[in-house]
Amino acid sequence: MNGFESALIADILAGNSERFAWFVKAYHGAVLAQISSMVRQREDAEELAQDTFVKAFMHLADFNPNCATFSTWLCRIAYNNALSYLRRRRLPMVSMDDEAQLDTITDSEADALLSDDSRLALLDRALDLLPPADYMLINLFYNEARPIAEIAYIMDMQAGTVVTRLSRIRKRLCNTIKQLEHAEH
Amino acid sequence: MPNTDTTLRTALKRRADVAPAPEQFALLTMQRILAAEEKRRRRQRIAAIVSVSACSVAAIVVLIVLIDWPAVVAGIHLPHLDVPIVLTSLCLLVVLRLLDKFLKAHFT
Repeated sequence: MNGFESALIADILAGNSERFAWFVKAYHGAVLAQISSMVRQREDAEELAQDTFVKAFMHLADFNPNCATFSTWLCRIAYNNALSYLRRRRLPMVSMDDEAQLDTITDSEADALLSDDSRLALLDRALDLLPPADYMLINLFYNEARPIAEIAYIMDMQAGTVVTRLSRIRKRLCNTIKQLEHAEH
Repeated sequence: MPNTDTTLRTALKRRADVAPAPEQFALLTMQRILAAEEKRRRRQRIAAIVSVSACSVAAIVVLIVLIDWPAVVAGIHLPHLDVPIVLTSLCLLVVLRLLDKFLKAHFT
């Protein structure tokens, strides 16, 4: 975290609440994108993004710059917010795929399928079928290129679990692509 | 874990292009934040008043029981208890005065 943000946080904690607007303006796009990757309804995503900032403000004194940067901490709050929303709505967050079937897919097979441009449309459909938490994880790793340790902090899991889950998600995508291809032919 | 699945990255990047937040987003968020902050302050104020009041009442009860417990228990007035009653009243006044000062210092 940079010195400017640290000074700003100290200032806000001293009572200058209005200065939190800087964080809202700086990070609202990232927070909204983050939540939108889990929550498809636009209005709900905006509401959750606002909640994220309110919670961050209310718990600003608990923020520890030694654990994460401010944006990563914000991302963790956004993730938990979206997760709570999905739980309230009782939406499925984990895939019900046959795990044994996924074991038959090798990593090299997954690499080949997920790097094949001709399957982009199918991949897009497969991504639509991913549970929100899985989608968030894969998005953080591939799209935002965040390190494993950071993803582990955001999603509150062990780094080893993140790696395992990433591997399962890739295989799950491959499995779905295969099923879609099979259904088309 | 490889991060070389180019098609997957392309697909995710394309999907990540969400429409920007409305112009009023930051303003509305700050309004909510300031309202939440005001609510928190109000709650803290009430909690402090309740806590100080409870402590004062407890202190007064303890004083009455310690200094003048025969009168409290028996409900009778004995001449030798006149001084403790005055002391109790003085203590009560001091506590109320301190409470008043505390509330004025912190919440006005």
